[in-house]
Amino acid sequence: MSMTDERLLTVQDLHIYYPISKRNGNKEYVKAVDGVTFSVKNGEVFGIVGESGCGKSTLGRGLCKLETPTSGTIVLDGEDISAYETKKMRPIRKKVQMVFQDPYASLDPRMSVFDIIAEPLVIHKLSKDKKDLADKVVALLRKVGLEDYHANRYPHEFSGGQRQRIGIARALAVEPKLIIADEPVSALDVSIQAQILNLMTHLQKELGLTYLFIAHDLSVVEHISTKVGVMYLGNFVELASKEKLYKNPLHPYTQALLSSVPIPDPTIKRDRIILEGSIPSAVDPPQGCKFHTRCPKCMEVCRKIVPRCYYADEDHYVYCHLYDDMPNSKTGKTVGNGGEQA
Amino acid sequence: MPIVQTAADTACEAVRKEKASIRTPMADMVRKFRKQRNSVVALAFIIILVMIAFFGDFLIPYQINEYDYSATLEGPSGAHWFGTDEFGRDLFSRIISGTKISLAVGLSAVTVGALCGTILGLLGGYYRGFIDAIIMRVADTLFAFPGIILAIAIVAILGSGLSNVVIAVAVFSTPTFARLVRGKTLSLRTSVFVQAAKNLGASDARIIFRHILPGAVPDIIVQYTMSIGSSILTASSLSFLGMGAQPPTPEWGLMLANGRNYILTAPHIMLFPGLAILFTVLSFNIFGDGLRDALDPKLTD
Repeated sequence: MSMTDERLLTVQDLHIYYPISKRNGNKEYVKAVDGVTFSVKNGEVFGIVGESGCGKSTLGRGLCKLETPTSGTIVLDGEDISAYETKKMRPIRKKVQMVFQDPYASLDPRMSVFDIIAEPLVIHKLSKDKKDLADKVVALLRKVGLEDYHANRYPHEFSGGQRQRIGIARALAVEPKLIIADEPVSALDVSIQAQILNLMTHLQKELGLTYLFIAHDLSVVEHISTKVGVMYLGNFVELASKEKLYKNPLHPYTQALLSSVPIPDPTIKRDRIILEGSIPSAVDPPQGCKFHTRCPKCMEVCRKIVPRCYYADEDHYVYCHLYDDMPNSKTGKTVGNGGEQA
Repeated sequence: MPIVQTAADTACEAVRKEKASIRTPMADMVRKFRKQRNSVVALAFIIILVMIAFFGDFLIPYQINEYDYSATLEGPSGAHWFGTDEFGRDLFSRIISGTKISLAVGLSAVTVGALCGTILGLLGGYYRGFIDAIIMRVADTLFAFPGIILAIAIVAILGSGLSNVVIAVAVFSTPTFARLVRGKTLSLRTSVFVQAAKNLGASDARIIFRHILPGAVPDIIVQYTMSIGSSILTASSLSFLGMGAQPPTPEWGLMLANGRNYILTAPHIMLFPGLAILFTVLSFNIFGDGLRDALDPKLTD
């Protein structure tokens, strides 16, 4: 099928639980990612938004196998990597790379920029000799807008934005297909954020990359993404193309999030949807729809039954009982959060 | 590919220009260390000691075992700067000659201890679990003994002699390094840059030796320097107790032990070896303090 061919990443019913031992000896689990299903096509920029603690970073780390999935499948480029251990993952790392949130912590302070960027090339033996390695590192530095002479400096001599550029260069070194960017700009100043976002967009177009872009800032996600998924307490609540999600949010949580985005115009008055309380514990999430404890449109059914994935429109899916009359997602075989996107 | 070649060439040129102004971690450390006067003096003293250890035997005025029964138990004089002992041997020559023994014993024992401790600490801290539990419980057991008692026990098992003293001191300095390196490894293995290296597909060996070990090196260096002082002291103590060097070796601890009998009539026999031990240990400790301050990123200048 041509549809499956262009899918770079398919995630089916992925769970990532962390065990925590209680004093009485019983084991409980933090359900960081609790049954997530989605797919990313080649060349797409898939944005994931959500409050802190909703599991979006864990999801990103899980896809890189930095966390071990409890269950579910991850198919990358036609290969099911969900059960791969460290050794088998090694060649896969050339396909998927990660850009980390904190550019201060993600670079080894005792390595020069040259060594940092050269490391993936050395690990995967991607250079013929020393000169070839130097050429490649210099080319990467230029690609991310740094100067050649930066190669011999150390991370502490750079600003946050420059460090993030180094992090991006390191991720690009192995020429990956998919880059998972875990809040790559949230640690940066607003003016620098724009530079890094523009750089990432530019690189994506130039190199034909696919991004999985994790952020809590809706404006950032709107700027860069083509498709957006909204996460709440370990599940997606709504998945749609960017235009549809921002113009016509269906899930009450998405609506609340969007109403909280500041508009740079003090004369505009609007109704903000204020959510009561805070995100519930992921150890013991609410029954039924996980959002029902804070939902302004909560109904009786929400407290009991987990909503399915409803197909609202082309490229628009929502997990909410308000849309019970809409058709189920075509492959609604996994009840609950098991919908699948075309 | 001519374009890429130019890229590398300009890079090289830029590198040459830049080299002078780059603040490497090493340059930072040297700059901070030089601000600590005490430690610079201590370092100078240590360098002199090392020179003495290498060349002392060519400088001494008398042979170390040159007996002169016409001049026993003499106090310091122009002919014998530190006086003579009960056999008329020149104390100055013997102390100079003893420098290399003390330094060699201290350095080799701590080096062996640091190597073993670092490897064990890295393994335990990185792999956790069963290996870690065993290594740390053994370390705890060794920690339960006071160092000197443990050393005496080991020498008692192996027999007296300088080489066994080295083994004894190495054994009791190992757990210190193991615990130190393990702690550092535990904190570094969860750091984001180690995660990043894992994400790049780095092997365990690469992560341990390229990312974790360099992070632990400053702590190891400080502990190493501090340990040299205390192991010289322990080695001397063992010799003092008759379990280390045997007469007529010019070992400082042994000389102290000999001088004990003449403490009222000829106190200089004890005084000078004692001072030699004191200054050597003190200088290593002060040097270690200075290094710690220079290597600790939390202490700003």
